[in-house]
Amino acid sequence: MNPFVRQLLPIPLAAAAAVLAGPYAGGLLAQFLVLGTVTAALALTWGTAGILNLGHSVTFGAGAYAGAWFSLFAEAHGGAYGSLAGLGAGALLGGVMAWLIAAVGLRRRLDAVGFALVTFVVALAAEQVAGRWTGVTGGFNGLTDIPRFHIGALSFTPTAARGVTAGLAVLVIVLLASLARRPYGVALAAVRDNERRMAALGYDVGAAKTGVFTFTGVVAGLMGAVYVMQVQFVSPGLIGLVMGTNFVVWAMLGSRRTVWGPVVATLVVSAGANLLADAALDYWLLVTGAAFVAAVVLVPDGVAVVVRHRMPARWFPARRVVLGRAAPVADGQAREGLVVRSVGCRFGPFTALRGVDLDLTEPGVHCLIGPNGAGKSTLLDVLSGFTPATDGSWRLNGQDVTGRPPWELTRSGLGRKFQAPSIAGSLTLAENLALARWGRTHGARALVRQRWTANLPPEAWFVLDAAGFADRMDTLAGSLSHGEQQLLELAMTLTAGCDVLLLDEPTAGMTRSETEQVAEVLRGLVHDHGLPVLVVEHDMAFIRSVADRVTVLRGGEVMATGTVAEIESNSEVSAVYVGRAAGGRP
Amino acid sequence: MSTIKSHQLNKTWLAVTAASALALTGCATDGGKSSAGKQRSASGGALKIGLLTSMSGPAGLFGPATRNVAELAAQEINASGGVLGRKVSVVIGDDATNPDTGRQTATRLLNSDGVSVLVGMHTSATREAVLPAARSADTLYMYTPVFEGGTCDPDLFTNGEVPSQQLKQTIPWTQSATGRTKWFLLGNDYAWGRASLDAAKQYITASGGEVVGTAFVPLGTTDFQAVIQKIQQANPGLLLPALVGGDAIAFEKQAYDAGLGNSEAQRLGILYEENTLAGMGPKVTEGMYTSLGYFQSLESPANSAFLTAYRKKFGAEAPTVTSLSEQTYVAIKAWAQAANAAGSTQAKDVAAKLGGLSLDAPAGKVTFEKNRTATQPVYVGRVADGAVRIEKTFTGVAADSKCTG
Amino acid sequence: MDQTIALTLGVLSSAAVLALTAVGLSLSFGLMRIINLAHGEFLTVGAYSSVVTADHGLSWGVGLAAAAAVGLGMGALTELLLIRRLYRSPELSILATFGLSIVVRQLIQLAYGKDYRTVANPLPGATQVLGVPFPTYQLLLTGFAVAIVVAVLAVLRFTSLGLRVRAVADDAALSETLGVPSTRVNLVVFATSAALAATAGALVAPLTNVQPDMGLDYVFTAFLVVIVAGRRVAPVLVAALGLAAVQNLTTFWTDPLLARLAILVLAFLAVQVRPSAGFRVAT
Repeated sequence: MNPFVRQLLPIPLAAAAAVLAGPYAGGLLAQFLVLGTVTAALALTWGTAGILNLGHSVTFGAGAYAGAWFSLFAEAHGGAYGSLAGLGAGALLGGVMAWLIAAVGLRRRLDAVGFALVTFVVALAAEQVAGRWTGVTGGFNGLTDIPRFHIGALSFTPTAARGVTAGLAVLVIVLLASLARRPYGVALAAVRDNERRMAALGYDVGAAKTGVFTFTGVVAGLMGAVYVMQVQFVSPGLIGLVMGTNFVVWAMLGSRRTVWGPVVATLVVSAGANLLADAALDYWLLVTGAAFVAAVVLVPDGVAVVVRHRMPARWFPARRVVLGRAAPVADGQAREGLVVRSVGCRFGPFTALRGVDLDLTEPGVHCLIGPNGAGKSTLLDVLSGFTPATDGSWRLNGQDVTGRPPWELTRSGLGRKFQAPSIAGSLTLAENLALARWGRTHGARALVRQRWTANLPPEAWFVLDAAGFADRMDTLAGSLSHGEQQLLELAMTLTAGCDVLLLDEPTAGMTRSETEQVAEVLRGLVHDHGLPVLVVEHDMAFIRSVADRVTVLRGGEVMATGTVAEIESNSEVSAVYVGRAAGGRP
Repeated sequence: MSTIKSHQLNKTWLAVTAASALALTGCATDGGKSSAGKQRSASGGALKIGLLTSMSGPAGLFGPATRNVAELAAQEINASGGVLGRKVSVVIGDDATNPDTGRQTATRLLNSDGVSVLVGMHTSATREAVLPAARSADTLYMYTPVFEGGTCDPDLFTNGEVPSQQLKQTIPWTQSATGRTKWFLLGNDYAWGRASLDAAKQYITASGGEVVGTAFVPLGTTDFQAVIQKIQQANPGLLLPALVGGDAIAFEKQAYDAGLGNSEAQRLGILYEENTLAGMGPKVTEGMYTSLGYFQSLESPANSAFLTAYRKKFGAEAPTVTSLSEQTYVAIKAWAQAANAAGSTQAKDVAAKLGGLSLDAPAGKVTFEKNRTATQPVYVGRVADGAVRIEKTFTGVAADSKCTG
Repeated sequence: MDQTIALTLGVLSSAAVLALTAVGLSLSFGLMRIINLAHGEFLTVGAYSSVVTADHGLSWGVGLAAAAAVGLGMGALTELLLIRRLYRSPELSILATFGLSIVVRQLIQLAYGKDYRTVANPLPGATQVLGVPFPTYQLLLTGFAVAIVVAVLAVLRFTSLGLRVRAVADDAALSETLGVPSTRVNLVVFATSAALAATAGALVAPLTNVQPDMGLDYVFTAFLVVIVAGRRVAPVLVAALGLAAVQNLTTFWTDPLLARLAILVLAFLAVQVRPSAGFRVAT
């Protein structure tokens, strides 16, 4: 079957099911599918971007009220397009509210639980407001007799309306699912797994999170409006914390890392509760509660994940990522490298760095050494934007980039590799590399449109070929050895395309032969690709084999700079550092 | 596995969609059978009375007694020949004190169970949610508890007490009984609380009283400290609490402790039914006035027959019957009479006969008016030793309504 | 003057109830990062413990002790059977405790019915404070609240158990390597949290209606206190006092609905402006 048709097939199926199932079951199916859509939107922000939202009901409910209000207003004033106005207003209001919540919560760098509490308060407040603002919301009793969906004179029969509702809901689900498996969704998932890594690859992490949160707010608001046109009433319960908790519970039951799982969970729990309430009036809540508890114990990752594991593997072919070779960059743009002037960094009374000058203007390996606590990693964090500097400035390719956020620095040409490998272990090598490729060049919209093909620059291929990865691109990055992960991350950093490379202990935890491989790779990068590389290292043998220049940091200040020989003959340096470390790692 | 690979779930999804569609169609088939049953019942099966009430959630307290009286009503109707010569049975649905659930449940009762009438004892919000469903199923909807009034829907009969019935005559009576005129109005912040206090204000002003303060508290308030101080500062002689259940209990217990008991400010409760009063305890409630359309302690042959039958069927320990449940019993009995008089269970036919129908209810003589409200007696009880003693009876109190027949 | 005193006393006793209901939550949430939606039901269980003991003619003090004991046992059982499985993903605790709260509510309902139960006030009447009469029992509650929070703080600060608890809260993995058994510490913390909730339930029972859903009314405000207080226990008193002051004074001078919104705004602001916010991502 044509994959496009196969993807769209659920839409007519759902619409037909809603029509054929009759007014009761069909109406419920349509209603639950809409709720399922909203749950899926929640799962998208939660499962990919890692944002836990207890107030998803706020955007849903706001959309519902907007849909209801415009429909009723148009009806009262003889307007024919109240439904369309309602849907538009619902989506808009949902988006604006989500954006506000995100702007307040995410900008403050709250963790998932902290942010969840913000949304908790917002949901409580929203229910209060909806209950009180009687003129607009109808207060506690809400608004009723909301007209069914109609366009101009074209009004649907109840039967057709539930078909339209169900079809529309599934259409949105298909879109969400499609979004989640595009580079956009996978990039968000990588943000959830490791925010710093993605920032270092050039992704504007804050904007990505705000963006996806706002987008799901739009979806929830729109579906809220669709919902009221199906059920024909709205009351504060739809906007409050109970509803918000329901969405979270459904998403969790279905598995928040899929899109369809939460939808099915919403359907099954809602329909199940309905049937159960009929069958066992006095015990249905007890059974429901016990089922939730059992689900946490038995299927903590959600039912969808468990179901998937029991399906034949051939049903889930791996994603095909095509990696090509980009032509060498011949932009003629001056590569002036990185010039650091009197950079300082204080944490309260503690001075981590003071007056650091550094020139990375020529191709070559520049090693940064110093005892523990000398400020080596802090310097790298400051230069790559993860820790704010309190003094000084640094220029990249002639541009003042002082104080820019990490993703902007990456986009200006600064590559940063962390000490611990921070690749996305659940993605294949190819997927990791593709994401790394797009960080520097792609905004959210470009990521949505991007196909799973990427052309990697020659220096990245140089590392990949050296590591022998070329024919293992479809293996999961998590299955690589520690040394291999270091090399993959190096390749990813280069994939983003950089003019200056900052490496934090690239050989940490490596075997001797892996270390030698890294040394070879570094030399190749310098000689064949003309990169200035700053390396934080402890391993003197390694330093001797690669370093063109060495800078010694001590107590946050530059103590000496020179060739390896100069540094090793510097009595002051050997006194504090080299002598002690000469025999190997300190 | 943290990746989203949902396209890979497509096939799974298809399977699951198909399964859920089948399951739901299963319900539909089930529903089909029920409506077939409805048609079959036209030739002799049992007629179904749908009872939508709160068995769980904050209003769940009143569910069990309501279910009981509905079953008692059905039993009595069957004993006297049923409706249109057929037996009736009660199908009960729980709204979990949540309008969204209420609408789903009502839809099940209406469409799947194919009930001949929908009787509702739940919040106003659920009523508003259920109304469109009842209307599109063309089924008569009888809403029975105390409520704020003001509904005007051709398919909706309401027989619960509304503020005009509970307050119009009661307020002047209370003022003359106590010789006090300064009122403080305290209500839960929702439709009923607000409508009741609005009406109270109007009757107080009309009868020469004075409102020295008004406050609304959110539903589910537990701490009344500051509200009590606010009332004490206003120093009223009379206090009209339009509070529901738990909130009323928390308020009265804390007010009593803080020196704002009934002896300081005479209460006139409008939803202080037997359960709520019991929750406050006899010391707190001593001397309070409470105004409702029914109390268990009414002394009339109809009421003692009703209570005897109730206890016989459900035991001496059965949940207390309050006004809220008694009204449900009345509504079901009235519907049966009207349906028999109409010779039909069609909403329109029954509604036509229900308008103007009177019956001898446990509460006294109740008349269903053409404007779809009920004219009924209203009692003012005075609590002594935890029991409600009827202090004053107003018979044939009509509900103010702008609706026309 | 009298009014000022009365208002102050009112704020204190309102704050006492808030602090009592929140201190247990600040342990499970602040120290363990468990979002315990069943906290309110632990409170309900405590209230019913005092009802049941009173029904058997036992004194109020016995009821309080029974509530604490039942809460402790229930908390320990919950931790062993449920919470223990969730430390790797605290978000799952939402689903688990949400389910648990339903189960507990329904079980209470099956066992004791839905009727309002009432607990007699053990100390009826008022006491003169600076010439202003104030309910004696609420003065007692204020004392209890301060005593309980101070006791919890003292255990955390000055005992080796407290040291271990704080170590596990800061970094469970690291504490394990240092020989602190984090599972046992978590068991103790969670059980204590439940015991404190149940004790609070028994303490507020004479002031309110006891029924299966009562916990819901308290759990939201308890969460607000914890949100304002952040991840630590000591600020619970301050947060409760702040919220109570805003709530009571807004109620007194304007109206209770504005007061409800005002405390939500306060909670919201607290998350925003707290300088070393307990919830921020450390970078």
